[in-house]
Amino acid sequence: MRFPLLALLAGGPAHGYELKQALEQRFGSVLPPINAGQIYTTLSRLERDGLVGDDAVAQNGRPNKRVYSLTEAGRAELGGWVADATPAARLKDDFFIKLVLARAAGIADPAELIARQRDAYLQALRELDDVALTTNGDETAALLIEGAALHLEADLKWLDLCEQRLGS
Amino acid sequence: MRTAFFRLARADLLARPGQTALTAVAIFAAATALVVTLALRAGLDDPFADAMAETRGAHMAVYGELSDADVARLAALPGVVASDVRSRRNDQARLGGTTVEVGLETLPATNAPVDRPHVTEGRRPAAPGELLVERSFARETGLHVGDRFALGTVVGLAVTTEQATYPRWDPGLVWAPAVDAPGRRVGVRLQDPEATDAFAAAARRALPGTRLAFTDWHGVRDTITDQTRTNAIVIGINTLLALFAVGFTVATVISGRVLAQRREIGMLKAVGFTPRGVVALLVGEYLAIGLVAALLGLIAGAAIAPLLLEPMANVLATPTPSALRPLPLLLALVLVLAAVALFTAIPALRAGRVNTVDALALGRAGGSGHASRAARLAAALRLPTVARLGVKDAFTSRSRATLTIAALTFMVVTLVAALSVEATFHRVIDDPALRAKPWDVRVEAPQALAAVQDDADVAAATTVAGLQVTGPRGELEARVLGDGFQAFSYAVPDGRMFAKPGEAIAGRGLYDALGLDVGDRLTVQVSGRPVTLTLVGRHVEPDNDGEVLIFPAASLPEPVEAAAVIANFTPGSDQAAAARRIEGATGAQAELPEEEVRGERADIRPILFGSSLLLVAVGLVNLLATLLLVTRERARDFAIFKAVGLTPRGVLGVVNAGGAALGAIAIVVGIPLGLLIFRGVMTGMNPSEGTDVIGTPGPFALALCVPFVLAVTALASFVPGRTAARTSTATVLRAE
Amino acid sequence: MEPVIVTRGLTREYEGGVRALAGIDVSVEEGEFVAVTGPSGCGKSTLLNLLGGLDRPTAGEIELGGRRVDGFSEARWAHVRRDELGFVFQFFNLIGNLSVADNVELPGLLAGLSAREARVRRGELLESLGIGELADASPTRLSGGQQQRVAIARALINRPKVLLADEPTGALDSASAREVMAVLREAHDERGQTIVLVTHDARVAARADRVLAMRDGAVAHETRLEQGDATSVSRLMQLEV
Ligand SMILES: Nc1ncnc2c1ncn2[C@@H]1O[C@H](COP(=O)(O)OP(=O)(O)O)[C@@H](O)[C@H]1O
Ligand SMILES: [Mg+2]
Repeated sequence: MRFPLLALLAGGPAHGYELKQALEQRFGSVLPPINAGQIYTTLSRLERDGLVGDDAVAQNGRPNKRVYSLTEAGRAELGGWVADATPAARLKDDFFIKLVLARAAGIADPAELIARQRDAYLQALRELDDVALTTNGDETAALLIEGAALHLEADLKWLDLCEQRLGS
Repeated sequence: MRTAFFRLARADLLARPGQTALTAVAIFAAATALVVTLALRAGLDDPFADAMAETRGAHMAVYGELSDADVARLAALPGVVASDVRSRRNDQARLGGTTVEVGLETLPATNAPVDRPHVTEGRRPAAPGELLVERSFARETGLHVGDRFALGTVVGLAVTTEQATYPRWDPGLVWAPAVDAPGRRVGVRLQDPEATDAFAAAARRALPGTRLAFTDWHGVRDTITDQTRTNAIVIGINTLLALFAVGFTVATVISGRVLAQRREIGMLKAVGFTPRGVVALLVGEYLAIGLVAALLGLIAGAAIAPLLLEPMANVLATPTPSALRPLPLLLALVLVLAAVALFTAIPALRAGRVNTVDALALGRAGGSGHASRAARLAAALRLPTVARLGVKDAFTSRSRATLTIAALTFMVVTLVAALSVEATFHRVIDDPALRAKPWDVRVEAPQALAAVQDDADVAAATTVAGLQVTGPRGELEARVLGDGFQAFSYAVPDGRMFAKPGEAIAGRGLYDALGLDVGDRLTVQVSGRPVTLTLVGRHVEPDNDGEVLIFPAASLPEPVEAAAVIANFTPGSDQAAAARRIEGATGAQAELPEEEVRGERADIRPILFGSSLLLVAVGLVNLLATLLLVTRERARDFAIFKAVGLTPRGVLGVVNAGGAALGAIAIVVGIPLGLLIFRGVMTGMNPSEGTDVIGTPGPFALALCVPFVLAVTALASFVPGRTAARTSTATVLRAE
Repeated sequence: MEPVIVTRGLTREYEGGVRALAGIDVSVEEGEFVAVTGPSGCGKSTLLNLLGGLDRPTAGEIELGGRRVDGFSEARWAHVRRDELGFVFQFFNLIGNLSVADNVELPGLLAGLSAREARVRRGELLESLGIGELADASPTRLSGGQQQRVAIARALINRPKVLLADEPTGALDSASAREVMAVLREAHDERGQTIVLVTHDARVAARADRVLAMRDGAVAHETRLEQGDATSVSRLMQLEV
């Protein structure tokens, strides 16, 4: 969660609660519920590494409210993250390991494994499609769903390949 | 390159064997029709010339009681290139209850230099008592091969150009192996066939004091050509139509197919064919089919032609021409192949110019989606859905609809022309005045006037005479009617019939030749004395190109010898019986002009029907090919129709409704066009009488076209419709 | 639920021994949306063509609406197609020389609708498919997606028991495919249209209630799919921050 917070702070100083709200606003329904503690833990780690600094703003009768901002080092770190390409998501696949090993050990029918996996992917695709119908113009969500669906379609095609080459 | 062409052409032809076969059949039919037509035409151009050549007809024949020395003198006259002599006497025989004059001649050798009778039936006589009879004489008197009569047994029939057909020329001719008689006939062929008068003068000078009679070949020719004019016109019309048919069939079938190939042409262009290459490929392909089909067609044509040539030869009084002469056959081949090349190249060029992408897209979807006028009409008429689809379908492609309509129209024109010929005959039979014979009966015995007038059934009778008069530009043929001419009214389209001596009527040819109009005065010399006549009308005159003058005999300063008696019967009398009675009373032949025309019609019918049938057959092949192509092209649409629930019968209905819609147009266009063409040809071929005698088929006869066209389209739609109905939808739509 | 289509041992062999279908048993219930998937040449189109009577089985039975139809004559099949089935093809197969309106009204008129009724239905259908303004256009001038929607309207005008669709999105770009799928989904979800649809697009197949995976002329596997609900949303959204 380090880089998302750094990225949010690039827009200007903010305190922890504001950062949480900004995240939720940007990603909307696609983000699982975030708890505030997670944000604060990350922020303090960033502070420890000298990537963010903070000013305490006194609040009457309450603990000081801390406003975080990006340091020079933080800006450099963020620059590196933005500039680097993100590595491909999918180079490990539990199902593939399961399929190869189960087939080698003779503990399952590979065709059945593939069929079950296909059911699961199809069902997932169906649910994604249903969810897509309920995004109500949420572009971020729609894009994310589209990406996921495309991945699932690729997975299904890949299952066809597995079936052809390892299906028996 | 050549290999590529060859492979593509072969693949294309083999890919659609049905269409290839149909194209071949169409070309075959066209070639057949063309051969028959050209053969008929060749016989028609100058039937007499053919017959002259065939029989080595004499240019001049001299009759008289001649010694061998006389004959030698005649043969040695200047300008004579060949001569032949034979004995001849006039005899009489009773045939079919009447006595007829017979000219009996010695049978010439088979290799006689002049006047070889051409045997058309039976054989040459070999033994004494065997006879060869001139064909028209045999037909007229009912003689057949094998019949016996007073002079001997008939063993053969023959045609000759010694004289024109009986009974116009009599006596009838009969040849026997040996004839014993003092009279002789010397036939000569001249260096210059026109120099007959000079020969006659020379002959008279060479044999002074000997009584000589001459027959000039011009006289024979004029009689035969005059007599067969109507028939020649009819044959002419049909041959003209056949030429149309050939061009048309080749055009529709091939153009139709090439147009349907646009998608393939697009593909060829996509792989690098030039438009010229495409044209060359297609032309080569169709020429290959055309050559095979045309050769077969020539053979078939040569086989069929005699069936039509023979009745024609009867009509034209000529020996049956051969259909196997190389020139017409070669001409037919060249014409057919030229048509094939032309009608392939034009649409191929057009198709080659179509944008490649559009051409490739053609298979998938075409058309504008906009209702044609006909489709809108169908909708407005609240026709059932199937009928509306059919109409819409029929007019989807303009070129296709045009081809089909043209094919149908052609058949309607053929039919209308045939009906018009019938109607014309009918009209002339009803009214012999249209033949310039405004009488019911003609008796070739001028002295019999009183006897004829005495017959109970005769209402009016008078005499008629033919004479030569001298007009401002030379000899004119004239006819004069005796007293009582008022009862014999010629057909006078312009002006009126003459009513008193000093008035005259004339045929169109005379008016044209002399630059006169109705109302003008004309002075002619009759036996050296001037007679001035007022031309009060133009009558319909089939003879002598219409250059005939008719007036009352009383206009002449002195009476002329009459040639025959003419009479009208009281209405409702039995004309045939009356004619027989008159023959009995006068001992002369009574001729009913109506019968004469009937006979002519009977002669022409086999030719008319035969060639019309051939034309209709060609049209049918044509139509079938067009419709089949259309259906093939529409296979996808029909498959879709079926996919959305059109039954096989519905598909047939769509095809038929389309055919009927096109047929309706063909009828609407074809009937007036047929009448117009017939009128045009009649006028063109026979300006003097054509327009005046044309018969127009009655509404009922014309209405015949409707069931005919419907039957023809239904017949022609049946095969493609069934194909469309049967083709598997899945297969067609799969071919996408 | 009543089965609308039942096949037993449905077999189709082509000349030359190609066994396109080898004894298929399927049952489609009323209101069900069945997708048929499988590699090219496995017999999907053959199955659909047999169900629509566009082709004849070599062996086996077909029941439609509770009665045997496999022995029907061509003409009776035509009546079945016009009254009870709707066909949608990959390449639209609209009649190029009929306007959009005419194309859509055609099966209605064939089935005996009055011209007025056909017009009204066509108007509603085109409107609901979002192409109401194209009624007078020529199909040749339309985009693929528009043409396919016209084809669907044509298939639906007689309110068929079953809509048979063979790769309806196969010839379309993804945006047009989306539009066409939306139309089919609406027909099924909102009006309970029974659909049998052949596709090789997983996204399209995923919309079905049941997916039949075919291999070599037989159904190899069957997947029942459940409607996604709100609780599954978060489960799917694995966005890690
Ligand atoms: N008319 C035909 N003649 C011969 N073989 C055919 C015909 N139609 C289809 N096939 C064959 O049947 C098999 C199934 O075809 P099809 O049902 O079209 O497959 P798909 O699943 O791709 O739609 C294929 O092997 C195909 O080649
Ligand atoms: Mg398929």
